Amino acid sequence: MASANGRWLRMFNYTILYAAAVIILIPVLNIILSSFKTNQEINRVFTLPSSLQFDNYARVFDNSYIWLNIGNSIFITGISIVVAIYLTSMASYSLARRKEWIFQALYLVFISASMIPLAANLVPLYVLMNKLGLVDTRTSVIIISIAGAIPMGIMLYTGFIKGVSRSLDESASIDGCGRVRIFALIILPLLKPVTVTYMVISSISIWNDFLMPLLFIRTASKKTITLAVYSFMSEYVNDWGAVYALLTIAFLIPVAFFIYNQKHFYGGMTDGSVKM
Amino acid sequence: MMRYRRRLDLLYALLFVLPALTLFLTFKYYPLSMTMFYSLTNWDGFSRSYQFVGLDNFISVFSDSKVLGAFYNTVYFAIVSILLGTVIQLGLALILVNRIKGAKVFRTVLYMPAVISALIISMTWIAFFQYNGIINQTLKLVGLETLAHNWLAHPIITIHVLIVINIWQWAGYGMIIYITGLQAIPTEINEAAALDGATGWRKLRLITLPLIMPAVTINMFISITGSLRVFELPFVLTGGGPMNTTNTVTMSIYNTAFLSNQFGYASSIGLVFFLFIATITLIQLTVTRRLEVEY
Repeated sequence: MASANGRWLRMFNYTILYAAAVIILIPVLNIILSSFKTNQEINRVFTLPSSLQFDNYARVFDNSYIWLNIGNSIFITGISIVVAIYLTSMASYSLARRKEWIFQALYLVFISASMIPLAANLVPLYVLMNKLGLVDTRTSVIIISIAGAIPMGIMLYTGFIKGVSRSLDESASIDGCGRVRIFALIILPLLKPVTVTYMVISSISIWNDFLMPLLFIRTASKKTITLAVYSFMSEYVNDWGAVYALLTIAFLIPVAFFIYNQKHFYGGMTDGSVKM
Repeated sequence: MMRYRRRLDLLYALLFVLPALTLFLTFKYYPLSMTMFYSLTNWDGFSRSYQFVGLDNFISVFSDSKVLGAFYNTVYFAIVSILLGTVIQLGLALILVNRIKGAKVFRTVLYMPAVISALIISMTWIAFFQYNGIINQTLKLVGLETLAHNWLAHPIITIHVLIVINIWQWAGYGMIIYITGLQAIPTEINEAAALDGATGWRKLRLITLPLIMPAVTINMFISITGSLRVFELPFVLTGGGPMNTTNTVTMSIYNTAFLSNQFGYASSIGLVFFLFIATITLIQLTVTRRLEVEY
């Protein structure tokens, strides 16, 4: 009886999982298949592409700044995350180690900002960037991305440093090391695992951002890949083959990154969560 | 000497925080304070002059059916996404936490949509939901033409299409959080529950759920703040239509500021939005925290 029950349960479980996986994969397969179809074939949704032709991809590479757009995304994400790591790891060292009330207060200042929706600051951010002459530059997106990544960095690093034994700093301090050297030579190397987590998770959210590039970047050659996909769709409404080719490229980059760094995604979320 | 040393330490500690703090204050809190300032004016974003209009903008926000509608749509979107989403995420987690062949592959596949920009996701789904799209064609093929709808231009259905896509995107993400929570339950507790004859629904409600409340807290926090900010889905798929039924708060602020050039008014919607999100998340954190148990 029990074993029959167990068998049914197992079958039920596998059915659900396979169904879920198919539901996730169908839209993905659709864009990949469609990217190889001619524009006539695309409307016939149930057919496979007649031949493996790369014309759509060729048109994407001819009619867009796709290499520049990918480059811009890499540049914006890379610079933002490096600066954010530098800023938050240093700040967290003080926030985690010092007991004065001011540091507790500052910690709250950093953490509670995750409740401020970007939309609430849309107008003043635009005005501010305009005053600084940064509208239509990648710098504006970089700055806002760094500010956006700070709360999570503070959370991850402060939690992590609290778990690092104080005796390490103290013995170094007795040996005559200054604060800066203690941080750079002793603490920083220990932060490597949490830094990787932070890097991986923040990169994805900076890479995927759409609202800020939409607001600040106008020139086609400065656009991020996400914004470029949107602009390309509005411009080539009748060329869905090319749109699908570009979508496929834009889809596969973060997926490849994710598959390569999987364990950091899974572990990282809980690292962040336990400290909340 | 000792005192001098301690002062110097404090100074260094403050200097360490300073760069992050400066950037943060300039691009997070200063804009927020400017939102408050602009919200009291009728500034159009370009003129050199503007008048202070007191709380007029806020009175307008609370009597503007379009803005109130945007808040309603956003909250509806969030509530349905979270309720249905949680059931699906938890269900998948409860299955995948067992010994399953290919568990890793399932995990990867289900999580994948969460790493893609919502913009790309939205565009991926156009092919399915447009009038001549895959869903309607499939319905035609199997003779269920009566079920075909104008999915992206229906006053009642369309918001639910956006909800479905949102749930689809985040199912695997929430699932992973719940799996981590489930794996943290000590095996003795599960064994003790089995000895006492607790199985199925009773075990889930009385033992499992209370023990994974920390995972629920974090997941709720992420889902609430995420889904209330929804922008790309309606921006790409519906433009807020039909008849503003999928207009969301973020879209409303964006359009008010940059299409209608009402910077002052957009700021007051933004401020109300901030206070709204802050209140909801604080309530949520207090409530779910209280439900967490020690073991």
